[in-house]
Amino acid sequence: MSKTALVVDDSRSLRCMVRETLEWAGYSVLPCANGQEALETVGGHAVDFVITDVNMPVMDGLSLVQRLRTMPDLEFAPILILTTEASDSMKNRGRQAGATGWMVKPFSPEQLLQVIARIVA
Amino acid sequence: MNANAERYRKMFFEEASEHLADVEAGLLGMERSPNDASMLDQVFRGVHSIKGGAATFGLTQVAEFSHALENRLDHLRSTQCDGGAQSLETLLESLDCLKALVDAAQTDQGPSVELSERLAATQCALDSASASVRCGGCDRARSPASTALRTWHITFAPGADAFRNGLDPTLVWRELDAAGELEVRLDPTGLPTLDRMDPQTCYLRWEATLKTDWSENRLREAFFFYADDAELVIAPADESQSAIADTPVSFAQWLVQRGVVSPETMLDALDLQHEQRVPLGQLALRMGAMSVSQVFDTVSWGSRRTERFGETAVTLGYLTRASLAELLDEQARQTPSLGSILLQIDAAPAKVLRSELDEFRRAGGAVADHDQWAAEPTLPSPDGELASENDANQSAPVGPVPDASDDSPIPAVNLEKVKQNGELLGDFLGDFYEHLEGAEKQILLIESNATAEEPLHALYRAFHTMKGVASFFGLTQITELAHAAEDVLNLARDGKLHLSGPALELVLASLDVLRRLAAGTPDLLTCDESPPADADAAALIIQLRGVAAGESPQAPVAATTTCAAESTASTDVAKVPPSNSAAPRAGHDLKETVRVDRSRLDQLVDMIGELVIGEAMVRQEIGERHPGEEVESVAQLGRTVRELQEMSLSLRMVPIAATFQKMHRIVRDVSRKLGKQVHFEVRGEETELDKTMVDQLGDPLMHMVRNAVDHGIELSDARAATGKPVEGRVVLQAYLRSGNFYIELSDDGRGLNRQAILSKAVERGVVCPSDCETIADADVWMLIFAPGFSTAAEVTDVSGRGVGMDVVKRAIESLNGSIEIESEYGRGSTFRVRLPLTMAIVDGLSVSLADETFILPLVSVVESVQPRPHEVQTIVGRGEIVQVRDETIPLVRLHRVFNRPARELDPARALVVIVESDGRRLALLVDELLGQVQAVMKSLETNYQKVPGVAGATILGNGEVAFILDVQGLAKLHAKTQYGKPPARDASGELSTAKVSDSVCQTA
Repeated sequence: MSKTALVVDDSRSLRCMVRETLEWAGYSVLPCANGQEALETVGGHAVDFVITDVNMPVMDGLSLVQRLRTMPDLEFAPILILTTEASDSMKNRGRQAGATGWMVKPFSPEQLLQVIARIVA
Repeated sequence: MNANAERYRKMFFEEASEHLADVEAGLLGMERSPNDASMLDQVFRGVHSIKGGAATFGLTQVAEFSHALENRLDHLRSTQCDGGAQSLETLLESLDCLKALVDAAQTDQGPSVELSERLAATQCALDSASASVRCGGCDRARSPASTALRTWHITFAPGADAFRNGLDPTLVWRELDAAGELEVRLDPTGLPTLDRMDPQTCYLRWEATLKTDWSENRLREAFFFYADDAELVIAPADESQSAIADTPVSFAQWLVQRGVVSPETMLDALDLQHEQRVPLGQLALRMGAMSVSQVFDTVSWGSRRTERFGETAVTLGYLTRASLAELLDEQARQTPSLGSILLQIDAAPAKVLRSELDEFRRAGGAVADHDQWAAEPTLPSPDGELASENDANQSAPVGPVPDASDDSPIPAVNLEKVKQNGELLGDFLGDFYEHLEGAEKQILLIESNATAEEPLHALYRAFHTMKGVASFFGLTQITELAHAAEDVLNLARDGKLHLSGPALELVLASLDVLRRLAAGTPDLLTCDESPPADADAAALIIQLRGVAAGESPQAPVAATTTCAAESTASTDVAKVPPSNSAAPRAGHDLKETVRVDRSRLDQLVDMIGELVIGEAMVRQEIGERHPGEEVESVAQLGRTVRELQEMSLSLRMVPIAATFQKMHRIVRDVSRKLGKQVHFEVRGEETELDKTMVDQLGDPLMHMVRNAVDHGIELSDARAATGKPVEGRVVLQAYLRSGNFYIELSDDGRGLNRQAILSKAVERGVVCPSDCETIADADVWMLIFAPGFSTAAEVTDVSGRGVGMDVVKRAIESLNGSIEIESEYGRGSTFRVRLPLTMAIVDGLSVSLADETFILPLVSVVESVQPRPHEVQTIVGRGEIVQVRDETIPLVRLHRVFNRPARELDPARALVVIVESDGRRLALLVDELLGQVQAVMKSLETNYQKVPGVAGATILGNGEVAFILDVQGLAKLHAKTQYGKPPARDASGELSTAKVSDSVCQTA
């Protein structure tokens, strides 16, 4: 049974890149364009880990992470945030929201998989 | 992959134009309010995103230039000085260059000479302005060059919150396990007793020793996500020092050891150098060393964490060691030298570096490739971009062209760009109008409820998007107007402006002008020169910018003209049919896919199969109740069901590419093992086939390919001796023909040896010695599929294939397919596999024999005739034949094959159906033609056993069961009666009556 990733990003190209990278690596992927969509998707599917952008319309990534952490299924799930800011304050805000790890854009598919291997068993 | 890459690139360009617009807005904002740091951030983010995307999609020049620009911006950010007007001028010029570069990349053209000059000048200005270069994106430590083997002692406690953060600390050890020899011990001292233990708290603590060539930095990276709250000690174990002394000191180490550069700065420099390296795959493409598919193949094969690209490519046989070395040299050449990077980041003065290098050389230091002190590398040549196809495939329908009145002013535009994208203009308008309508709706909402936030956000986004798409099309004035309005809305979003009264009217007015401007765009396609700017729009832009800059909003100055324009605008708009908004939007409606569980899909296809049967039943019943009438609703139902069925079948179709892809590796492995040189070529990989079959084809294909290389292709010496090219050639191709799917595997090897195969067959008693002369080649080749031929040593004697060939044949037959061979001794062989496109549903012709119905697959039916008496003859030794026009076709009496009574025995009074399979024709004698049916095939094999001549069974509309005939099987049954000895009747089953001897035929 392959693991299912929820991929949340409002940029279509990035979403597709992440998605195809993950699918290539054997994960299943549920793509969403923003936090709200992600919450709706999570309601109907089992999700093993989450990869989310921070800056998005409707609901941003950090609010999404906070909401996900209140759900029993995702309370301890690995959540990776993708951010363009490499600053410590960003990392701290991510950590406070409940993110497991973060990744600074841009990144290559190989780097993404490497980081995922660090948080997903 | 190619198509995907192309798709991403398109998306990237869309996004890039949005980012560019943001950057421009930011730069202009900086000019207006020099102290507003958020503007600089906005600019930085935009450039940074472009850089990231460009690097990801292989647009090297765009990436490099935006990188330089980003460095400059980062410098501005960190020093918090605005750099003055001149600096802003440079930035704006850079932005223009970047735009031009993106445009050039989009059309797959290298930058013009003029642009290149501008680029060089601008980059020079940027670089000289950056006193310190540090990119924001490369903070993540990257592994510097590997160092010698060292042993490390690691102490690691993940921290109490690790589990609550979703971390699994064991993964760290998994990663480090790949680094070298790892030994981990759990330190249980911190574990509380069970009753005290909180399951969500992490009490774990480990001690580990690791012997690895990874640098400390790289080791630390594995613990990246733990940095804040974990206990982590990584220290070299004692014996490690001696190991270091053995390895030659690199220039980097030299500089650090001599105290010229601090270790931190050196790491930064190495990171930066690493970042600026051209990826090897890209370089291989550029230099023509590898094809795109080879690069892709290599990337796919390379186990992503342990293998490196170059090594993998060599292993796969795509690169020789020598060409890899060349590539690495080139990579090193194109990478900025360590010296130049150190200079760039002001790590040390040039003079010092130069003398250090001399010293280093004198001390006998080996200058590693990438440490070489070389001149600043020149920019890659314009054709250095990744090659990619021209996207001539975009042929989105051109939207209807509304005629704008001649006197209506037309916006200032980049005419060239508009024309470039002319075919997408219809889609653009559709999109644009949708956003305009959306924006209007939001404004009404804002008017009725001024405090609601969401309509304001939506309004902002609508303008933002309009701005983006307009800039994509080079509609400069529309972009500017949308942009100005967006800025005003942004103020409102931040609560700095109350959107009501004059401000709201300004926004409304801009909507109207935008609408009018958009309506005029189709005319641009036929314009020869760029039209003048629209006066109303220009006035509005000035007003909006004023508001955005903090002036108090006033009702639109051009209100009267705007109103007048509005009335003309509305007529213009009325001429644009609403279908515009429904037009397919190529730019935005990119295919997204949904993954569906396989079993659910199968279930759906099955149920549609049942629906087809149900529909047939209904039609039959209605037909009986209303004889001779075509009931419209039933006909309609039939059409819908058929469409549904076709759609359901296409759901399961996938390209064969994935299966073909694996063959590359097999050819490579086998040829390498046998020491043969083989050129392997794949064609038609995009041909689609039912997923089930694609999956099941893998094994038989693998056997066939392996055999082609193993037994087909000769050793190089043998080939040279016979005057063939030393490199053998194996071609695998897929294609569709007459409703069937074909896979052809050809080689130019030694071919099959007829004599050897026959003598082996005689020896095994499969063939009578007396028949040897008369057996057709095609039938001789089929002998290699006999199970007896498949034991290796003997097969090699007959120079034939045969290892597992019976398995191949069985597998293909189980897919309702067939295989045939063409071969010429000494010249090569071709194996041709024919498969039905799908196994689920058969289009068939139903025929009757007495009171039973049989179904013939429609693909194999040629025609049906009633022969005249003299056209049916019996030829001694060949059986009955039917003369159809100039052709003689063997007659098969179906009732005899299936041992059923027939109503009519005289072909001249019954009917014959001419069927064809693999180029061989048969005339089947039947009583009656009933009609065309869609049969959902149920396998006999899974429910009973394989029956020769029968492909499967189905349930008819009236509930009866009918056999679906296998024409190829029938042909074989018939053929057996020709060369085989008349078989003794066995009592095992009725169907053996198929082996009717000729004498019986003659007496019939």
